[in-house]
Amino acid sequence: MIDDIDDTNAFVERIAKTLRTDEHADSSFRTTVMTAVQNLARTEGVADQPRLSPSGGTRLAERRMPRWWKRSYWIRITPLSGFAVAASALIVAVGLFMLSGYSLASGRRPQEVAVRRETVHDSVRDTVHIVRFVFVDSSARSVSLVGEFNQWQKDATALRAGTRPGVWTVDVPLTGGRHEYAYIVRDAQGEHWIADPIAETRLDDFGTESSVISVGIPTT
Amino acid sequence: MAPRLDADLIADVLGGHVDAYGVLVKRYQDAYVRFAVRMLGNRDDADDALQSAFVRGFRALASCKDPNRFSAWLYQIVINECRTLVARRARRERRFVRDEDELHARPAPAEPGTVGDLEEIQRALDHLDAEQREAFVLKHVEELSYEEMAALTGANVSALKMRVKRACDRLRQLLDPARSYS
Repeated sequence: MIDDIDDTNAFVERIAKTLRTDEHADSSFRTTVMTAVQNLARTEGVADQPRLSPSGGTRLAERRMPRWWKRSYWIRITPLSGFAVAASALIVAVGLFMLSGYSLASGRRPQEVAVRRETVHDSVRDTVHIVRFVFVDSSARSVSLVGEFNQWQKDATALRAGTRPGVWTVDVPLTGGRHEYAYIVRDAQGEHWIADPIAETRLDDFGTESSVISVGIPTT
Repeated sequence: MAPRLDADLIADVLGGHVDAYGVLVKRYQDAYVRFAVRMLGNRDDADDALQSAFVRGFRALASCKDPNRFSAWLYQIVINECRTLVARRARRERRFVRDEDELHARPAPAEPGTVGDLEEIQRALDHLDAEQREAFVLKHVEELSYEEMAALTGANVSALKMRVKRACDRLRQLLDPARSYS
């Protein structure tokens, strides 16, 4: 027994010794990083100003809580499901549009509004799912989506304004699994990081709240 | 002249002197290369992860609560960046020596400890579950204590010990199959 442990330790040490071979950054590494940093400083300002966190959001203390009329919906569609699913998704989308229009027009608070999330599941985890994100905010000037799927780049995935005022949508292809995301909303007061008020949320290492969407995973 | 403290450099950056961040980059650019290469299995991905980590570090500098522990804070970002890249790559590629037969079909490794077998050992390391690989590299390559690992990764010590043990067992199966089953 003791011999086995000694043997294992010796084996691991031999491997680890090889893996401890030094590695060094390329000579261009610092220049590459600082070029990116300088560009960032020019476009977003220096680091003491309110800014996006490593995961893309403003720090928790700087973030406003979502206002009650900001809501979002998402709809998931798999290509495998064909026309039937597409038709279903269309019906759901129309339903959600009507739902959002009714709630806005009637001034009902969101607690009184049944928020629907329609999900089409597929057992194939590698299937690409088209997920429609719908965000409702009549005061927004622009809305974009950030997440792991676009490396948290705030201008990579813009939502489009729909025909109904304040309704913003975008379709995003996602693989099966859990994806973190949030909305960047720009209005007269500035730019705001908004975690989806209807989705599961999590805090990252820097205290920024993001939302989580499970794609292709049956929910209970 | 004595080198400036990390905290002073961070104060300069936050005050608008972006070039001061270059001193931090130069100071730490080599510190995490080995970890990233071992985690990601190749130099190109490691460079991508590290560049991204340093840029994210700049963007989040104001949230570094203890500037005197900048290196540990940056290490967390590097670890997270490597995790993200591993997860993204696993979904995208699913091509990396997934088949045990492919691994075992390769020429027998040289005696561990020689320069020539680094590639073979790295290939075996790539074969591990990402959490096990991370724990093994932090423990046996970066030589951190379990307490330091727990602080960096957010996992508890007993879970980390289990990951390291499983990683060792798995490496033994892959690199020394005759002995691992005896």
